[in-house]
Amino acid sequence: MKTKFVATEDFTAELYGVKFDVKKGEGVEADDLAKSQLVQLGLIEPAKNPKKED
Amino acid sequence: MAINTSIGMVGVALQTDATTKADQVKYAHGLTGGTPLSFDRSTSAVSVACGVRASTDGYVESIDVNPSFDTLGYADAIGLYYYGALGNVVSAAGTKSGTYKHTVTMGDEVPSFTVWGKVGQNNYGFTQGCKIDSISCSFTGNEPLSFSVSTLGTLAQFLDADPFEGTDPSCFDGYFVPTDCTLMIDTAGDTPAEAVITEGSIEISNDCEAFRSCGQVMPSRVSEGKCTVSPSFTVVPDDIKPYRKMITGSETGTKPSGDIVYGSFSCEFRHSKNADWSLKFTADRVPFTADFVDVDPDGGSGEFTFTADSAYIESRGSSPVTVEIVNGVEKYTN
Repeated sequence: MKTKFVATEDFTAELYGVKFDVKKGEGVEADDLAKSQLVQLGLIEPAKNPKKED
Repeated sequence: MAINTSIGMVGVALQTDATTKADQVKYAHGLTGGTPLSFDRSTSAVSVACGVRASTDGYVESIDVNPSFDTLGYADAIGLYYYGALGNVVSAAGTKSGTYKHTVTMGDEVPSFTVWGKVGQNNYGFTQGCKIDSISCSFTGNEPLSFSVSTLGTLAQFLDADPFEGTDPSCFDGYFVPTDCTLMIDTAGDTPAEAVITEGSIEISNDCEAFRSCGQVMPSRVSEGKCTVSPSFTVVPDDIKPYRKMITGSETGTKPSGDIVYGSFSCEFRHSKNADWSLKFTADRVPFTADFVDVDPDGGSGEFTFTADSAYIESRGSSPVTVEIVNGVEKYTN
């Protein structure tokens, strides 16, 4: 089960070799480490109506 | 005319990968010392006895190209250097209009750069495939922050044309300074508090190694090794509590702790020309150590120099140090 995350603002990043160039409101696919950092920085959050997927 | 060593400049740009040279200088800035262009050639005699007592021939063992320089904290380039030293960067708009905040933490790999150098009027060259072997930030009194950057590169060449043509150096736009900075340390715990820190330094090392194929004198690759973050802070405390805390784990403790005691620090510096720009270092798993205060018959304030061989990390996704840069650069990634 994965929770969908969306960007709370525009950001760019390189995290563990993966590049991001994301606009506010876009969905963000990232591994757990990158996701954890982006959540900590307040740049992504779980989508309001998260879609659960296997 | 001699080579005028007061005319020096370094330029840097991120490469798309380890082997492709960047097209042009992205950030150019001044130096306070060092060698932005360096060919360290090692030669050896061919060891053969040939009826006479002298060697008859030699060969080039290796040519290492490792630009290393000292510089001030130019707001644009310094972000790139810390990204180069640690490997992860996240960039987003800052709280003030026109500013961007870059959060730099340790990643699994570090990126490669092309470094251009100029010494004297018309002497230029570049080194590609550079990785940041180490970068240190030092501060003392109210002097501008001082940075030493050491890189290991792969290929280097002299140039006849000025690679800095059309690039404005950052020298005229100010730099990071300790004026009105916030320096905080906790010798045991993760809640650093302001202290009288008279000088300090934070060094990040990547234990880089250049290696070459047989038949190649210049390196073909540079690989990074273990990342170590070594801080040093000279503190003039009111009493021995910071030291006692470091040794026992508590400022009221009496017995030295057999368990490792982790401290933390936070150092935030301002920019000399833009009040909205800043540079901040934080770490929260630092096994500080220090010598006890020496008695001095002449008197004077006792001080401790708290150092650590390396800050540690608490979990797989954490970083031994976090560097936050607020400046006018939108992003550092290609």
